[in-house]
Amino acid sequence: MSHITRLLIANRGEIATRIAATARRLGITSIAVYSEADRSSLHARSCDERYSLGTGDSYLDLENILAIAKEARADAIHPGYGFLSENELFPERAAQEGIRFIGPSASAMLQLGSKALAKKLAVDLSIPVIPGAVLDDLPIDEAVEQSSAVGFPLIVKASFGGGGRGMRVVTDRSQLRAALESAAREAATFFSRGDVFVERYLTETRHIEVQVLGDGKGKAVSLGDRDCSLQRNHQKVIEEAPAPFLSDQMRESIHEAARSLFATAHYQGVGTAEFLVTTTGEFFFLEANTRLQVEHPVTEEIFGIDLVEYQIRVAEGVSLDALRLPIHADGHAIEARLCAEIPELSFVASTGILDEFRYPTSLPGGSILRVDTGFVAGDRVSHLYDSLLAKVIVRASSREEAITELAIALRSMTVSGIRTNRNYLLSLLGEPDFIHCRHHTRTAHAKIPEEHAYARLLFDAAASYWRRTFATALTSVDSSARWRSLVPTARRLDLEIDGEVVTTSVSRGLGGAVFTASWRGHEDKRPLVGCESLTAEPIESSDTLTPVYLDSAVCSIKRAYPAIIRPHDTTAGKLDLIIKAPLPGRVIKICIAPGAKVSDNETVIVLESMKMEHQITAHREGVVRAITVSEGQTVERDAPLVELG
Amino acid sequence: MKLASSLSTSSPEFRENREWSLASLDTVRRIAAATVNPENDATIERHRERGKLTARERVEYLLDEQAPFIEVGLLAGHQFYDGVRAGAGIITGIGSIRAVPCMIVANDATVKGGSYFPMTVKKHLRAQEIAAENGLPCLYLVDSGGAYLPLQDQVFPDRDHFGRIFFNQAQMSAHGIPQISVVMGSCTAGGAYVPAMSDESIIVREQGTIFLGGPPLVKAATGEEVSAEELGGAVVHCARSGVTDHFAEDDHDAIRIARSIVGNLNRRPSLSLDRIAPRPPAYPIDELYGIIPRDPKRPIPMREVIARLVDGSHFDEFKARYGTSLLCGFARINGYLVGILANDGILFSESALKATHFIQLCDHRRIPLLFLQNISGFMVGSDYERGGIAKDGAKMVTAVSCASVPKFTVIVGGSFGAGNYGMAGRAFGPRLLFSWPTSRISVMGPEQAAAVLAQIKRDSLAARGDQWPIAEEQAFRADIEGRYNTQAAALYATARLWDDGIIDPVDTRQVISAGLEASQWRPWPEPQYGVFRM
Repeated sequence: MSHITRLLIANRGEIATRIAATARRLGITSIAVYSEADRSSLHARSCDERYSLGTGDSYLDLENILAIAKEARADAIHPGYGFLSENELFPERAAQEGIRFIGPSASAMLQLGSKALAKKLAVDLSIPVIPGAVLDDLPIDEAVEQSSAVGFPLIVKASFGGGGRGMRVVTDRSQLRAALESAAREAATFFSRGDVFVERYLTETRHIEVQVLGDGKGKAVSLGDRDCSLQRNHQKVIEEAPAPFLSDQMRESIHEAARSLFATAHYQGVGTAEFLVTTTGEFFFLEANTRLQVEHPVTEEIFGIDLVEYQIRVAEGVSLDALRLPIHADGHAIEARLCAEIPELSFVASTGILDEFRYPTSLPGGSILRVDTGFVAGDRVSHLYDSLLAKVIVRASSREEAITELAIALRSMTVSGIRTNRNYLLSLLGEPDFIHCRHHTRTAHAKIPEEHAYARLLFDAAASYWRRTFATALTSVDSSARWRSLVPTARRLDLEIDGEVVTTSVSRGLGGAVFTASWRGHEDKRPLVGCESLTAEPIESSDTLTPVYLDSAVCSIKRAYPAIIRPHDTTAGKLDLIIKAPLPGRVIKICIAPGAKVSDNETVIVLESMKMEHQITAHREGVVRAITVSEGQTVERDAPLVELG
Repeated sequence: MKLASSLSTSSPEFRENREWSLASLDTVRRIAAATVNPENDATIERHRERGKLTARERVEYLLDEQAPFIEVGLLAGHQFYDGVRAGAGIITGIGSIRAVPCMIVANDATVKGGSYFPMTVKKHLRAQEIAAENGLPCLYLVDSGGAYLPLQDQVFPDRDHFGRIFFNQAQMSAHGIPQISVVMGSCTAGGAYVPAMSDESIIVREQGTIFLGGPPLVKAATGEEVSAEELGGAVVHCARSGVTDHFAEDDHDAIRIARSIVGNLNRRPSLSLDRIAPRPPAYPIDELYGIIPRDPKRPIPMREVIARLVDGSHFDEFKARYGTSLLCGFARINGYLVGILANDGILFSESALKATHFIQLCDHRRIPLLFLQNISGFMVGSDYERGGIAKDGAKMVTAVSCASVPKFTVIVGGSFGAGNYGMAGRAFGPRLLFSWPTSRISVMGPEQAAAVLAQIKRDSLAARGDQWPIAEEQAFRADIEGRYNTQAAALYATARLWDDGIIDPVDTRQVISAGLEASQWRPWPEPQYGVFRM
């Protein structure tokens, strides 16, 4: 087959940018498609040519993308991950249009990509699988019956999907029907296929996956493994390669299983076989991914390879032997997914303008740092797409070093305007169970910050900030800081800490300074003893954002100027009657009508954000006076939705 | 060299002094607290309900959070006017905004609508004087109905009355000292000129108003009926008249804008004082409470006082063996080099000559002067008059008057008679003048005054051949002493703005240090003569 010369990248964000980089290195012309929101995005700018998605404005519109590919005279399409990457119509339709699809054939994709078919194949190959039931097209009553037979706890999953979308854990029968329905709805939204299946839910297992490369002619090789056990809501948060503390025998068994699955399916390109490994040394085949994984860089870093290049070469018909595949991995690589979200508020998406976004290019310890991102400072982070801001990857000589250096890299990043899960990632990297490899798929869940813990963090940050302001004034030994004649008054200061407004005050009495703070009903009071270490830079001005470093977190702080609600302001007094959007998203359902009586905690609106459904409930009882949004409308965080009377 | 201390903190005398000092301080503190945090005030509640911050909150939010606030005239007008708290309805003081020391002048609308009483005017002008001397940008947080009309004869017509405020604004602006107004309430009639005369001004939406004549006056004058907001609200002045430059949503927003304005002033200090790493005094500062004798006849051991005010208790004395009743020497306060003059007994010719020499020395070396007043007066008697003590005292007064370096005065003990002049009393323009709670100020001591007046009366009675019964004379003396005692009290003085405030003795270093810091923001005039050896 001939060389690929013009490659259309049917994706966006960091992965499109990353694919474009390989294309450029290989001398292939890269062609971007972009939505209206991505008009000035990095991925569009990093490609040689770019095309607007046009009226549909969707990365999911297969026919439109094929039309663009033809117009752009593309001879190949790379689907990236997500969007159309696992839609078996894509390779089929591309082939009909004479464009090469970078990935498996439709049949191989279906055989491995359908979780039910893949599981059947595994059973045929005597690979252990988790007990479960396929529910495709079954009437709901029968689906409930069959599912119950699997036993609880069980997990409902989308047959065509990944990334935790459409998944529901069900602990008893009473929740089953609702879970099946909503999982199907979510799966339909995200993967355009509503099929779901159930299986037994194993706890305290490790998620181990094997990177596979197939030639499409019945030959497949494995390229190491990864441990992706740190997951939140079934979404991977931190991944590493190689999977640590895997016995040679276990490693050989799962690699062999992975290779046989992909070889049997005549799989072409890169794919992944995912397994659950129990503490007792058992392993189960979970599912296969028929695309490039988000976490592929950790594999690339330890082998010093480029998986996208392999994808392209295999698609060009190059044999696996000719690729001169590496035999040995070197060192240890870890990836952390930096996301635009607020972990402390149930991980709601953080949207807006990314005012500052800087990261180091090298690490003090000499380890390799790689940051894959689709964002630059000044970009808008929209709720239309995934919240992934950047993948931060470190390769070091040992696992311990990689963990340390990754934490350093994360702490050295500057992100403002957008809230991130950075502190959550840092808390995971500092988790002893993770450091000592005792972690499992529930470990990350246990570290999800609770509101009171977050309040504590905010208060620590505020106190640290105050100590530093005192340190600035402490050029005098007997500190004139906050000095007031005769009457020591409390100094109130509203601080904006990572976007949260915290009310603080410091009063100086004879016994020294006392710090008090409050946030969302949480309170703190402590003496403000000592001052920050001399290495802490003095605070230049409270009007500009200042980073505050705590043991396992970084916060950005500046003065807040809270709005005063005045009696003649038209909205005053009514504020308590307005139900606002707690997160940005699209209104998918309005559950109430004007004039209706609502009770406290009753669902009034269903919002879809980050492809998840969120039920918005009334915070008080009342009568619906007005509904200020309509179904299908996109709203920002804090937008008024419903007005009660 | 480091001063040695022979203070006994376990002596009954020390304990008695301390109790007395702390009781005096407590009296002042309680009056101050009622001004700073007034309780159960319905006017304040109403003010807040309108969505306004109190004047003190506005000042607090405006300042850098770590900044000290050197309040000027905190207790001015104490017990002057009915229903007016100490402070005379205005807050003034030095505090930094974005690291630039500024003079803040904030009307307190909860005190008679922020009207200007005579003391309010005096305080406002004193604040402007400090700002002008030190080159401090002025921020006027305006919320005032203007002159208090019932007392118009004491606030409107004279040189140092209301009009002087605007004269000062124009003069300071001409000298490059920024004038910034934040209109957070009424600005009526004369008050309208505060923002109008400012370099840059902010007004709060549906809260600030500026007009020469309010709606009632307009109606009376022209028959036009117009609301305050339409007549001179934020929209009018920001979009139409151009009287104000910035439109603020509320008080917080106005403060945000004011801070950003200061951030764009492009101000830097004009000079930098000699400063090294600061050290605390070697002896506990709070021992000061026990040092000042309760009995005014007993001398204050001034070296013990200095040892608790200066860095490391280190005092390099000048002419230690000459004119010993006045201590002169160099020391550091919060790291800043200062020349200190402190009375340690009656002023003689030699002490005055020594002071004159030292003041000139400091003037030429550009070292700020700190006067610690503890005056019992100049020595009297024929020997001294013949020795020319008047002309020697005059030399000291001349030196003090003409010294072009910043002067700071703290009244530690008594401040009586001509010694007050020589030691940079109020009339001699110290940049800041603060009193300790137990200090006393009058033309002479109560007993001396009573004795002198009784003598005069007795003499005049005798001239007429009348007798003065002992009981009557005693009553006369007691009356004079009582009156002098009342009028000499620090509270009486501070209520009249004879000083910039009463301070807790242990805070002296902070206040002086802040004054020194502020003095760096405007160039000092040059000295006119060389140093005369006296």
